[in-house]
Amino acid sequence: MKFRANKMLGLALGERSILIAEVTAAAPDRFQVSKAAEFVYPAGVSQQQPEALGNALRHFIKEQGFLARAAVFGIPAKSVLTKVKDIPPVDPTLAADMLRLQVESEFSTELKDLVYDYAGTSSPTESTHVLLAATPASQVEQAVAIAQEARLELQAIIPTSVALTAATTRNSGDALVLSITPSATELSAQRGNHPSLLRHIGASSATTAAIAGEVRRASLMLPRNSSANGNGSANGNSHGPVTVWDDARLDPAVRATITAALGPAARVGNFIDLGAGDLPAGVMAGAAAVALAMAGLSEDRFPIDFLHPRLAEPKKAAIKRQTALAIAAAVILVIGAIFAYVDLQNKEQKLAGLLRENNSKTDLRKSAEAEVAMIKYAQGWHADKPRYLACLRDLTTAIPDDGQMYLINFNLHDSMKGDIGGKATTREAVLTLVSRLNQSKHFSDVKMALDLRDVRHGHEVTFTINFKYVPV
Amino acid sequence: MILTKRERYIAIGAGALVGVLLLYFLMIGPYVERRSQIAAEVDTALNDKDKADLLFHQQVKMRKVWNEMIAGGLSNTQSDAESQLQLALNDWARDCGVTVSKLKDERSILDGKFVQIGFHLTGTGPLATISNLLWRVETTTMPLRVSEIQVMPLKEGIDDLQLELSLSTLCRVPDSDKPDKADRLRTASIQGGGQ
Repeated sequence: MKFRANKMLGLALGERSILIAEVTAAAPDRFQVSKAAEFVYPAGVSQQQPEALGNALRHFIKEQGFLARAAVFGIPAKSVLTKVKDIPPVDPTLAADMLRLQVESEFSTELKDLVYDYAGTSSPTESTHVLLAATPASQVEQAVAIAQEARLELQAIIPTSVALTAATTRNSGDALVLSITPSATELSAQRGNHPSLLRHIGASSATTAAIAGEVRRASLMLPRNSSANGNGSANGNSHGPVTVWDDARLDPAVRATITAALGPAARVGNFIDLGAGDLPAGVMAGAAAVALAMAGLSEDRFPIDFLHPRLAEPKKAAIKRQTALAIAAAVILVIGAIFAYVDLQNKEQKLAGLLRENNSKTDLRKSAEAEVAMIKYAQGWHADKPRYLACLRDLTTAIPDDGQMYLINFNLHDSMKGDIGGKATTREAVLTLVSRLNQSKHFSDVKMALDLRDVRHGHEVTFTINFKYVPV
Repeated sequence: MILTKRERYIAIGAGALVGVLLLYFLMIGPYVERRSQIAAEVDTALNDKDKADLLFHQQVKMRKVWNEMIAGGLSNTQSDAESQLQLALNDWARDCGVTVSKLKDERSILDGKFVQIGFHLTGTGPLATISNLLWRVETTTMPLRVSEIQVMPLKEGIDDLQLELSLSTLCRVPDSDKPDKADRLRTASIQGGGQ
């Protein structure tokens, strides 16, 4: 959101002087001029020396007590080229693009470095007219340099007469305005809220007859209004009333002659009609400067603004998209590389710490290994739970206590592999013993061998059982 | 050289592919490889550390066992160990009611820091007395290990059994009180001996 100052300076640049007015916005549509003055260029200084002129202007503004720093500069019509251009029914964006392409061919190719803008809008439904305007880029650069040197915040650069016409026609759509300033006499017209004509008539010292003749010729060049309007002029074009603004403080008789030469619809502008109150006491003129300040305070867009022209080439991105992508990729790559480096460094540090810790314990570890191995070996001779006695007990428990079987041999090795031999009255008794041993969790790999001859003759059965004892 | 849009896209794609490959082979690949290598080395180092910690923990537990064996009579000389075991066996047999018919020492084995001294006991008695003797042998605090037992009846139908017991005791080799890292390899030699 852009905020506008509520106090604005209007500066109408001329060949020999600058008209300055300070206007305050009491409300969105209520203005009051608080100060106005004419700054006459110091001897030997002109717009060609913007730094010197700006410096002198700064001192003048300070001396005169102007408080505002935001400023709208008005340039004379003499330095503005205009041309009416027909626009087919297209939307405004397309119209601007179209004008941007055509504008250079609309003016003389001998003129280099022009800044272009246009007043008016296109309509998607009907053909319209716009006023193409161009001014040398040097004019804009000088204005910017003057503003910088004068410590002013430049808001816009517009043709002075355009601003004056807009201010004059606040309450009526169409009008012709003749502006007489100490530097020049200019004619400007507005139709349908847009400037339609801007002409430099001559110096303010031009003769009355010359001015009148120029005004008549200019009015003939006005584009024809398609809508019927009651304010017709002698040539059939409707341009509304002709208002004469005299900021040059001409002799009243001369002014009356000029006004009369413009026809019956012409009248001298009344300052109070501008809507900025009355001029400060002691100030005789300054309508052009006041109109510029009012344009700066208005919420409407400037009709023409060479500081922010609509026909300027769209700003190119500072860097191309591909370049931006390449830079982004490079940045990501660099960040990734840094991350990878830091990551590896951290991991290597952790590894180095672990290796250092392990190495510091090497001797202790070797000593501990030897000690543990020695004690583990000796542990085999350290009393634990009785294994041999437990095996003997479990075997005794497994043998049925029915007198049909007795053992004649028990043998158990250190590996807990053993065997028993014995005799039984029946083969089934031996099988019962084997079954019991198999069911016990303390015996595994139980294998039985019987003497079959004894079975055949019906005598006692001799058996041998091999097993592996599993201690608790 | 003016490229068509299609050629431009192909060129950009090829360039991007080359860039990605270069990036992979010059940066990402070596980084991933080095990272994996470090991770493996860290795992190994952590594993070594865990093993060392476990070993030190085991060392503490083993020292308790060692101290118990020292307190139980682990001798420093072979003759002390032999006489200690002979006396103990005779005492236990007498107390339990087992008649010892033969008690002879067998070959001694030098094994690292220790000497194994073997004995063979032959005795007779009922099952209960033999069981008592076995209990004494297997629960003594002396360093003692049974390697084989054989029980057989002297006569069928009578509770009079013959016991053949092979066992051994342990004594330290002099000057080997403390574990020596240079002596981890077990060496065995046969040392003859008799009573």
